Amino acid sequence: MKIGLIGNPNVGKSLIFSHLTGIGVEVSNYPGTTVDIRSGVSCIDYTSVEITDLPGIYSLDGESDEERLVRDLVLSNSFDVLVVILDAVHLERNLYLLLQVLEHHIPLIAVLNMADEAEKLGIHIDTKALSKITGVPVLLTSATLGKNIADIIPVAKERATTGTYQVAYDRHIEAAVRTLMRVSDNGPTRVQSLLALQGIGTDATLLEAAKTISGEMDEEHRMPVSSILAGNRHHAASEIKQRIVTKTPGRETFGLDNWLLKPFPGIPLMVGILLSMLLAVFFIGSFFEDLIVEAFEIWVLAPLAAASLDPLVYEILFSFIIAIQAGLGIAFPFVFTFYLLMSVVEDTGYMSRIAFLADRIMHRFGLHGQAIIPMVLGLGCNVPAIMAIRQIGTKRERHIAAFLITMVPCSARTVIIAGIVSVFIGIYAAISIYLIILALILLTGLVLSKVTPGTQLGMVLEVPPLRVPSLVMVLKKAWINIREFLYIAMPLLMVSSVFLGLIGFYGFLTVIENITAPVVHDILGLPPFSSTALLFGILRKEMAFETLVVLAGTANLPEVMTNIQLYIFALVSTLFVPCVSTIAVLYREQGLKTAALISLYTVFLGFAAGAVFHWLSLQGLLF
Amino acid sequence: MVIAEREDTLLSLMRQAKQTGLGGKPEDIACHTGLSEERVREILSDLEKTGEVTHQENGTYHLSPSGIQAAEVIMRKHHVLETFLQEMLGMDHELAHAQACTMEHHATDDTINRLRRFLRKDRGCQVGCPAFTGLPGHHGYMGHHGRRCAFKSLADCSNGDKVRIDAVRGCGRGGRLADLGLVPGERVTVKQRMADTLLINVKDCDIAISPEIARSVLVEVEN
Ligand SMILES: Nc1nc2c(ncn2[C@@H]2O[C@H](COP(=O)(O)OP(=O)(O)OP(=O)(O)O)[C@@H](O)[C@H]2O)c(=O)[nH]1
Ligand SMILES: [Mg+2]
Repeated sequence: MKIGLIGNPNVGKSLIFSHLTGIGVEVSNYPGTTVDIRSGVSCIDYTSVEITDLPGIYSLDGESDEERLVRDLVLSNSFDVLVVILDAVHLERNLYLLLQVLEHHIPLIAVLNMADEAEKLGIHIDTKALSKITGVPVLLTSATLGKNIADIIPVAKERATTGTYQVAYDRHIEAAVRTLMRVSDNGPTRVQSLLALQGIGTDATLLEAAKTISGEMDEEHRMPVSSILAGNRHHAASEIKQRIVTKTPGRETFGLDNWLLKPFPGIPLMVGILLSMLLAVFFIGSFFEDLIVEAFEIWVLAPLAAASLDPLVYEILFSFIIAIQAGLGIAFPFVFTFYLLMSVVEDTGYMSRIAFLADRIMHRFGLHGQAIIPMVLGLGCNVPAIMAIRQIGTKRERHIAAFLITMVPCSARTVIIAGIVSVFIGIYAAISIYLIILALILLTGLVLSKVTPGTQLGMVLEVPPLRVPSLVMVLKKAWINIREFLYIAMPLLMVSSVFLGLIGFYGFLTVIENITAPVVHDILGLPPFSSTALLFGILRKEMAFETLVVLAGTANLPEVMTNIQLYIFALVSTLFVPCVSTIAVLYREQGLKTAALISLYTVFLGFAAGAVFHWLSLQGLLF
Repeated sequence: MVIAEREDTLLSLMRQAKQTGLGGKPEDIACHTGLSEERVREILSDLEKTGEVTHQENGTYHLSPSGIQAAEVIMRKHHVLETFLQEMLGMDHELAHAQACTMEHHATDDTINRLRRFLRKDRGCQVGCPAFTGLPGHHGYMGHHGRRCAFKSLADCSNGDKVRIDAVRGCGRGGRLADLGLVPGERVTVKQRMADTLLINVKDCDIAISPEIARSVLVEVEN
């Protein structure tokens, strides 16, 4: 049996999904966390049930990508049962979608989530009455507390029905639907006719007929059919709400937003929060880095050097250990700290507030506030950030956003900046790299907003209530994000480290170094061995650093490079070429042309910035 | 003159029916239209003969279905004329309303249809949504077509305003707005204004909207 979880954004679908299937998926307190479908299997009573987490949607008639995706799945009967998840606190707005889903005549149950919050706010919902009105089973759950979650699948399996409720539309609409249901030979259903009136569907004759009718109605009502339908549905939803919801005065919660959303102190606070996040990553990360690296030197590397081994065996063992040292000791502390803080920010609901605050400035770059969300996500990893671009409006906006996000220094690049620049040169030098990148992003945005063709729509973004993040959820989420690093990046690093050690042992590395020397040495002023590190950085960004350590044969880089060389290396490797995963996701989401364009542009930027700094240092203008 | 008086009476009845859900008394109608009470009674009995109103025992008059239809036709005429005067000729809201009130009785259906088509042509998204020019910044709005609508839009509201939506101009995000509950008649509270970006509360949900979108939502301030 196939079950689909459908509902408005940010109602807790993904959290329920992970409770039901045990699969850890991204759960965050802002709308639009899930952009792709994700399926998992749950076994109940010896039968397996396939459950699918869908992106949040506001309507089944909408034009946005995720709305289309979900509609196509629903229309193609991909699910045997739909579990419609609603936010009990904002029930009226959520009922709108339930009424729409009911039209599709697919067996369903309604789940009113966030029961805990509703209770706190003094909202009481008569689930029996709702069940009676709609004809479908209704459950009241709380995903964070796990309340009633276990009932969802049994109820969906045994009691899901198509419901009995039907929205009474405007009499013109009802007449049009009746006409349309007679028009086409294959007898379109009510919902097909309604969709056809909005230009959605595959049946050409039906669409043609619907177009004429909806044109007339448009003329008559002076608004598009979709707005009339929306108005009717909202009206129905509000009537149902009045019959089932009673509110006793509860806690008022607008307090903090008064501070966060005012220009003052909202904007200084936002800058402060983001900046202190960065600094915390630097300080906490480098503290643990010191500890771990030192421990490796004393307990593992020193004994290894002392135990006189066969040179080849030594080389292999050494590469292997130094890879673990670089991965666990250097990358892990920074990346983990970052994701921990990031999870806190995501779970509080501050992301949407950042979008609100940044809307104006983002307009200067041809974007809007919502685009800041993927950019902040990009500080973690560019890959999900680029997927999240789907959420923002038009092609033009996506194109610009893709460029800018790829330039945002992800946590892997933070590892490079923190691990090299902040540790060996100083915190101010590290911050200066961020400033350079920020300036380049702003410039790129300004230029792109001038040259990119297309339309711009602006932001309509729901701002969820502020929530206190729970420690367990934050840790879980940080773990989900870091898991990928441990399972994919670490093995990759170990293999390539041993590989590098071997080809170095047999002298192949010098060949590569000789070929790349003109660029790396003459233009960027870097030692020849760093070219290999730069190349490995394309695989995964932090590997540029780790490979540098491997190649240098020591984690104490100042022994082999000058400060300015370290600075240029960090700058070039953070700027130039996104990693392969980013290029791949760019290609998938934006097409070959954009992916190629962005890659070329960043290569150019990286080398240009490096060359400028090298030139400046030759003139004696630096440090 | 007779036509104008008849139509004003119908409109007045319609308005009262909408506001109170009840019929109208001749004295109220007289008060509304500025006609004398006798004249109103004369007209009402005329209308009763032609089947547009019905008379109740308690002295109130109700619109019959055909009366409602007639009143709706006049209202539409009024709306089209007023929009034309305001948006195309840049007339002041009050003046446009007053003018439309007299013109509505004389304009033929054909004239109104032509006007409406004319308005529609100009009302495409190019005008409705200034952002469609693709230029950044919020100045594009004035610069693009050089005149400002006299309607009040959400963008003109300030912190704490409680408004009711009159109309949402169809443009790119119209669908999303409607799904979120921004439909004509809905009550909206402006919670916070940052630069020109608004945080509004609709159906108990907070929603952040960009200035260009706020401009496409026409509102009427309550309280
Ligand atoms: N208090 C409370 N919070 C909840 C409950 N269920 C979910 N949440 C929180 O609501 C937020 C959104 O949860 P998600 O599971 O990401 O929501 P979603 O429906 O998948 O959202 P999209 O992927 O954006 O469509 C998270 O911060 C959850 O912690 C609940 O029952 N009670
Ligand atoms: Mg989700």
